[in-house]
Amino acid sequence: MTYSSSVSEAERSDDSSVGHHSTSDDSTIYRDDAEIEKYQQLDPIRSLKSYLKQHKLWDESQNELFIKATNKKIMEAIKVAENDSLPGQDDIFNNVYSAIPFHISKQQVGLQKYFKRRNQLVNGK
Amino acid sequence: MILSKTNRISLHKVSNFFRLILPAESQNICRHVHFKYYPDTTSKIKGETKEMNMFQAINNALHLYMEKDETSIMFGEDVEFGGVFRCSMGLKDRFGSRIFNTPLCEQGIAGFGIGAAANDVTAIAEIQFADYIYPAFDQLVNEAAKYRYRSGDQFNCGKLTVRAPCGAVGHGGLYHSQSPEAFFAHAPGLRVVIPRGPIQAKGLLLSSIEVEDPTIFFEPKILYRTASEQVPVEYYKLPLEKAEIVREGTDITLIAWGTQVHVLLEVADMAKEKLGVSCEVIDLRSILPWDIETICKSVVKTGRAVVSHEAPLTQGFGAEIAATIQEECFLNLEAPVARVTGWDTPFPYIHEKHYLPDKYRCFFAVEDTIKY
Repeated sequence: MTYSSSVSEAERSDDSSVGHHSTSDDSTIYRDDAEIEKYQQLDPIRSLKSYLKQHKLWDESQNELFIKATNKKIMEAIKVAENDSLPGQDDIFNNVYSAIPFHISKQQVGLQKYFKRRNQLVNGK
Repeated sequence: MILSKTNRISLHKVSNFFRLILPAESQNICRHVHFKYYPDTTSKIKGETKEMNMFQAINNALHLYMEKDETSIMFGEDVEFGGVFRCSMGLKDRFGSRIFNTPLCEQGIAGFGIGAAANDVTAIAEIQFADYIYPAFDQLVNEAAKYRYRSGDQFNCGKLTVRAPCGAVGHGGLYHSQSPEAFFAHAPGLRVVIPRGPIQAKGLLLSSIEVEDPTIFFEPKILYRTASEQVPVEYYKLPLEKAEIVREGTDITLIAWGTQVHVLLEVADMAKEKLGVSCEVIDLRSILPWDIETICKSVVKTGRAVVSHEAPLTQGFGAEIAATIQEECFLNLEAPVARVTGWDTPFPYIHEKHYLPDKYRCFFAVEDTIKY
């Protein structure tokens, strides 16, 4: 199990920044509660928070505002992503390098030829 | 198979945990299976058989081996409850402290395995995904591969076997789909083995564990559940370093390993039907050391070859095979050796079906090679 630092609704309510591997993972099934609790205590985000609070660099109200603002940002980003169209077929070769090198552009041409040829074979056009 | 109490309780929960990665229970409801599975029906191993899918065959092999060899241990991330792909189910209950979880530290898993193997312990390590084997790269390539050589055979870690799920699964994206066999094939001293189904997986895994060289055993994860066969229940081994001709033919040699063997078997059917071409399909099985003889004898006979793998083209193991065929069979070749592979990009999530060397792409390569 990996402890992720994502902050879900449930985790926030008990002031813990760690969670299970994914939303469908319930690690209490295969881990002792004591072991989970032990590692929650070692959570570096929790430690950093208490360190900052100790040095009066951070407090609960700041924390709450920060979490609220961050959640809002994430929700907005998800909305943008969900409404965006899927990348086009040629996008597969973009962003491997800052610019597409020759050997990859050859493969790009190969993929386009393949689409045409498959269309011909499958649909006869 | 022996299921522990905790396993029975946890099965459902844990299956939810990895539902995004695991293919579903049966082929019909599995998303994006890009190939048709051709079960192995010509197995020559005698005796009683039982229907098993690939994770069950691997689990069965581990049970049989650990029962036979009391010095053997099996370890990795979350292996105690059965592992995310269920390959170690029931082992903890049966063999106790010989099965244990490790921290999330692949370098540590490999390093520990090498140390144990060097001290005459049969060490079977699981890396949860081949995509995460890279932190162990230094240990495997710099230590495991060289251990026997650098000590002039005073020491070795031949009792080490590292299992890792590899390959496309329909929705694995960048970090749950890679096929890193070529990286390890560049490290003399290692063995690299990849099975194409349950019967092969059991026999090859037992050989990999027994062989006195460190072996990396990559298991195409899409086959864990989609591939089902009548697997012999006895302990049996299949030869390493030996490719298998899975279908005989006369006009062209098609070479692959793992899942891709099944893609090429379907391509052979298409080529027969559409082009009247007879394809010889070979499963390489062992990537390192590899069976040059079987491949080259076939190409001398057919005069044409297509090599296909999921990993990227550049520096994929297909390059090694093509170069060797060119050296050994130059005067018999009627056409250049074709390579049909994943593109030279990271493994894409959305574009998986355009990335994989599917049956059409392989079929066109056969057509071009025949008409060259």
